[in-house]
Amino acid sequence: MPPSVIYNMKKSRSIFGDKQGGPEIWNSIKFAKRKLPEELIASQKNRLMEGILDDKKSTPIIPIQPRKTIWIWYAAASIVLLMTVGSFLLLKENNFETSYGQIATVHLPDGTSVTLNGNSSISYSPISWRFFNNRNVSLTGEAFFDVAKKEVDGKRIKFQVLTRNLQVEVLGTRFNVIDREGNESVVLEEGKVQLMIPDVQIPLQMVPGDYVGYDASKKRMLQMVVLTEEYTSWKDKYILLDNKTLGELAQIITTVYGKKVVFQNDEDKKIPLEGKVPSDEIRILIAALRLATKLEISLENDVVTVSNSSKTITI
Amino acid sequence: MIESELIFGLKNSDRQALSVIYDKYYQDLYFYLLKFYSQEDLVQNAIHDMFIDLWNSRKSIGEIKSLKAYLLVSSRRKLFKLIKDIQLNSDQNFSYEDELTDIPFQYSHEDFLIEKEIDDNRRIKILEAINQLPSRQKEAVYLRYYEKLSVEEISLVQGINYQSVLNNLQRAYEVLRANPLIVNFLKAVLTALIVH
Repeated sequence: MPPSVIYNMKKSRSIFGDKQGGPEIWNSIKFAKRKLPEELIASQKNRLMEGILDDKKSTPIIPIQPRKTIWIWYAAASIVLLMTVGSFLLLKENNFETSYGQIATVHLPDGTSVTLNGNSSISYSPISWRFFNNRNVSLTGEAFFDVAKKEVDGKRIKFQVLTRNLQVEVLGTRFNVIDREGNESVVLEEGKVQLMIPDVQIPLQMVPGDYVGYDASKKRMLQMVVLTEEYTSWKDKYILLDNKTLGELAQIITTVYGKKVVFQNDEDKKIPLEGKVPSDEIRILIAALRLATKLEISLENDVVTVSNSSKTITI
Repeated sequence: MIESELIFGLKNSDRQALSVIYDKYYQDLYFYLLKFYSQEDLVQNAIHDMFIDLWNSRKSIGEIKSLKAYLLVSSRRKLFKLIKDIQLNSDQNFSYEDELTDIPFQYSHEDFLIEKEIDDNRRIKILEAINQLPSRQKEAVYLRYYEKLSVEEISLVQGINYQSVLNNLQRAYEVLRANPLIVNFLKAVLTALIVH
């Protein structure tokens, strides 16, 4: 390569603005692409993930600087210690979870009963329930709440359900909450609910029959009036299919039972369904679907395959 | 996942998003911090602390223009703070009012692929020549050509305006171009590329 290549490099500043470009001098002084061992990254990541495990009330670490008056730091240190111990106690949580396809009812200390759908969990802090008179429960998955009324000194104590983005506040009522990938929603069966939605200043008041869904990725909210049975029937071990398509049911089968659903013909997803199917036993559900849709539906190795190959009659 | 989704996930306490961010940027942060301080355990701690802070403050994070630039700046601050703490403990005469913003950016020879044909002596000289550039210029070059940041992002990382970044890059380039050692080295590299 003639030296002119090196000396004739453009001086124009515009080259710097170009993401890919740049003076050849830098492209020629080769930066070595260095790599860290994967084990190092993995172990460091583990350390982080463990560090943030119980982070809800974590105390900021206050750096101790020896130049300041010493007693302040002793005081600060003891406050930090107190807060750490305090938050440790507060963070001690009771946790209940269900596996795929399992429905279970949890009775909370205040008389509230929570029915968990498959692949769901709730947790609460018994310490803060006891000493701070709060009734906060965190939920992932889907649960039906039958909340008991609670009064302390003539004051009603609210019950709160927290999902990733939503905060549901009630006094005593029956409602269904879902927090699944791409779907957070509340359906109110009875009573009154106050719902806090991100970026919405005023809490939303729900009345029986209301459905409110929130899509965090699109920051969009949907409110409508529904037949609540459609959303709550699972706790009585059946699924009400009216207004659902086969595709929507497939979604439920995946999230609640953990079975992947494969459609050989995508058009089949649009098939409207009606009636009821039992939901406590996936095999019975599939048998019922097979009868109703006249499609070939099979369950093998955790995969549900929907096809219509053998049953199609062409004239 | 695109960057805005990661940031959104992080703000909404999605551990998965944090995990993806971690995997995506860990090495970049690591090698960047090593340029300021070659002690690996301190670099690891700085990144760790930075991620802990990031998680703890996730709800109050404002708008992030460039996630990578944001992480580079935050982890550098953490590292400087850790270094400051160490100096405070070891050296009682150290005045802690001193803003430790001037830890120089230094390349090591592991940062460059230098042809095997060039002997060690010259290799060291080339590295010295590059390292003689002012810290800001070296850092800008590194961020531009190694980390592939845009000029805007570099200005965010360095906390200086766009034009100053351009000037720094330009100056670094001109100094190196005038250095016979570098030019000869480049010739050697380019020749080697043609021969093979």
